[in-house]
Amino acid sequence: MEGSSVEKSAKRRRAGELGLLPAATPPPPAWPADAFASLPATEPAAARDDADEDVGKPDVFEYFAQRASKQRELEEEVARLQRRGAQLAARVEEAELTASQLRSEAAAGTARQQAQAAQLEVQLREQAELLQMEVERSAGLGAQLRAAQAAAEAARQRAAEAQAAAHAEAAQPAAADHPAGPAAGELRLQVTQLQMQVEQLAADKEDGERRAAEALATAQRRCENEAAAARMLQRQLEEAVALAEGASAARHSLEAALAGKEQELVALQTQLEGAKSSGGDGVLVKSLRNQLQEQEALVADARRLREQAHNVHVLRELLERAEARARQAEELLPDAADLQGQLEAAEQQLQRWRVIVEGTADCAGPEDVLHLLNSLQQRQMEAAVQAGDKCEEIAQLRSAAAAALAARVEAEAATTAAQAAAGDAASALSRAEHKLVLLSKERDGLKGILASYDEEYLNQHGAELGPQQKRIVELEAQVGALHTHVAALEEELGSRSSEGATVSASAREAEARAADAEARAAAAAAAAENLARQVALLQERVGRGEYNAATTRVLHFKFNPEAELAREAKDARLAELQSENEALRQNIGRMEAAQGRTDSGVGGGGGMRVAQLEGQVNLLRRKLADLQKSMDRLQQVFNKQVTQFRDAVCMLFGYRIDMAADPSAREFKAQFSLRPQHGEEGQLLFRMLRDNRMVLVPTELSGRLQREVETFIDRFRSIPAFTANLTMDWFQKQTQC
Amino acid sequence: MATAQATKNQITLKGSVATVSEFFSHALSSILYQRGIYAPESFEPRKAYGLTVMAVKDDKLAAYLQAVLQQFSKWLEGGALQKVVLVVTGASSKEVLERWTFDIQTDKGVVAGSAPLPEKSEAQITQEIQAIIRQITASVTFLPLLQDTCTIDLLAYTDKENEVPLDWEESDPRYITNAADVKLRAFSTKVHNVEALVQFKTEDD
Repeated sequence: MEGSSVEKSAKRRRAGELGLLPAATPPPPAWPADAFASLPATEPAAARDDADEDVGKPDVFEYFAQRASKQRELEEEVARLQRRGAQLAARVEEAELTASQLRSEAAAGTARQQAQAAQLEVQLREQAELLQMEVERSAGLGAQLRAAQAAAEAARQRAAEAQAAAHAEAAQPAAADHPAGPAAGELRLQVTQLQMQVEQLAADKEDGERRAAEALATAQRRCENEAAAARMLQRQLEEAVALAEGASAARHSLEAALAGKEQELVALQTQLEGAKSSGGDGVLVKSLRNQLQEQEALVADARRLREQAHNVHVLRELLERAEARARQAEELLPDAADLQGQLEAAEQQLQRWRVIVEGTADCAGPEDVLHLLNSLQQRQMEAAVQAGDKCEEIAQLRSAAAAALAARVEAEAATTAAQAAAGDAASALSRAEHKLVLLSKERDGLKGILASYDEEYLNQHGAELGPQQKRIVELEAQVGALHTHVAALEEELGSRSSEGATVSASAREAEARAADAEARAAAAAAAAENLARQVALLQERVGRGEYNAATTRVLHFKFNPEAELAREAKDARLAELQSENEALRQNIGRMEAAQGRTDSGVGGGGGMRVAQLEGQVNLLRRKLADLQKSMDRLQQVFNKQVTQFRDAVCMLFGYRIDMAADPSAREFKAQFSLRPQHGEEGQLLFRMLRDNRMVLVPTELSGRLQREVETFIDRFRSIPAFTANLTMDWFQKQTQC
Repeated sequence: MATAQATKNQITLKGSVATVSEFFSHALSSILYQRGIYAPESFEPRKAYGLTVMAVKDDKLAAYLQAVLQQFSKWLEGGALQKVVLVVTGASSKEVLERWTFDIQTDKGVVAGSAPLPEKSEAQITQEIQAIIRQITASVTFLPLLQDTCTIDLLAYTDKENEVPLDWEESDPRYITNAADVKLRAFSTKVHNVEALVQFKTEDD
């Protein structure tokens, strides 16, 4: 305002210098009438206020200055509001971006969560079904096991009763029970082992069921927890989605509000431009104030959106945790598979044992079990014998079949040969017959010719015989010869036929003989196998030690180690019993004496005590004797070992070493005398002092060896060198000699 | 030369008896050592049949074996000895754990003097005995371990018509229940044929 007054005064001075200021007040400039008319009708109060203010402004410049200043102020206000609006728009855009990102993330998270929830549900459903099946199977197995346990318990009770009865029957003669005792004992042992195995199996089955139930319960709890967490996450996701949708709706509303505000701002700008000439400032300020309030509301909405974005972040963390729990639930699935495998193995084992128990279900007691075992063994043996017989029959049949096959082949060969011979004979016969027919025909023909010739000749020459007649006679003779030949051929054919028949008969006989031979061979082979089996059995029996008591006797040396051991044991036991008997006799004597003293008025308790003590003394004396015996034995062994060691030392080092220990001597612990095995007479004496030092004691021999003593012992302090030097000296002396 | 060689390879009854008795001495010592029935200190190594065999040096045991083998020799000369069995028994359980059987077949003709003396080379007999001794040594691979302290007894299956010596008495055959047996090799002097077999108690399954 001061600036405007200064400007006004400056303008006034200038106007005065220019002579523009009239004496009278000039009429106001010809402002367009619509300038005042353009003032908004809605702001009559403000216009009246401004008009009131203008009444006090006689100067137009001041009025315009004021208006300009106001305009500037408004423009600044508008700029600030625009900046504020831009900031708010930027914030809204940021919030919109954030909201869109969050929405997309929420949608993705929702989708993932839905997918995981669906997977979890499917897995949970499958696990529930598996659990249900396992529970049902476990219930079935448990029922079966309980039934098996009841049967085993009943068998166990019956076995216990049978054992009690067997113990009561143990007083029977040992000879009668000896062959059956071991077998019955073995069977009882087998029954006991079976029972123990059944119990063990039942216990294992219970443990497996318990573990399976625990694992199933744990898995169920985990699945329930996971399902609850999934449901919670689902709810949170739905809330987040609702929040995101609300945020997007708010964002839309904010955008609409911003659009409206921008429109208003444009309108205000236009109004402001119009109001520059007229001055509707108050209305503009009010509208701007309203816009400010609305913008502040937008800011509050943006803050709320920010909080929602934070919540979405928290929900994202919760989603990640749910995913981790879902992975843990997935990791539990293999454990369920392992449990199922264990259950199946236990079920198979129970099935096997149930079969075994069912096999003995008919037995009422242990005797029945024994009978069952015996019957099973007998049936097994019978089956083995039958199998052996069957094998034998099969072998016999096979050998018979092989022989029959060979005979058949031979018979076929013979038959073929006979048939071939018969065929040959038949073909020869047919050829001969054919030949006979031909010859007969030829003969008839020739006869006819001859007859015709005869007639002709006779007709021509009468009854004279000529060369032709002779020829005829010759021909007839030939014919006769041919007839005889044919007869011979017929006879031969007959003989050949009879031979073929005989060959066939012989072939049949040969077949029959071959069959007989096969049967005999098979019987012989079977007999040979039987004999071989008998030989093997006899060898086995001989190997076992069986013998013919009629021809053989088993002897042994009376004083054999086993008998000696038994004798020693018997002697030891006898000695022990004798000492106990003696102690008991003494006790009885003491007790009688005490009883007598008691009867005569003296206390008997002391006598009992004395008898007990004497018994203890006898026992202790016996123990002492045994210990003394063992000590003597040890002493003998020790002496033997010591002597052996001393002999070895003498042989190895050439000195007989004797040790003398005098506990009363204070200066030395022991004295050692070394007598050389070879060499000079005398001895060397060494003493071991209390501080474990070994010193040479002067002797006659050591006096003769003074030089060596000074050298090896006094100077070099080495007794082994001294003795070694002496040994070498004596060895050299001996070898040189 | 051929006659000397033929004479050298001829087996007399006394020679065969000595061979069989010596075999029994070494075989029984080997069995007692390999099965651990007596402490190793009771044995000492000796050269026999081209092998190093463990012979008994414990006085008491050696005296027992000496007495028994002397009687075996007498029975072998008379052809009365059919079988020799070494029985191993548990000291506490009194149960027969092993049975080493030496089955003897005798040529009665040679014993009676009616048949000619057979011929067989000494090297071949030694080789056959060596194989049996090796088998006895190798038997530890399949025989079950003798857990308890054991004691032994020697049984002699003889002809019934022979008199029982004063120091001998009748005994039962000492069978093994649930036994498995393994047949070992045999050797023959042509006068005596000795087949070896070992039976042992199988463990209950």
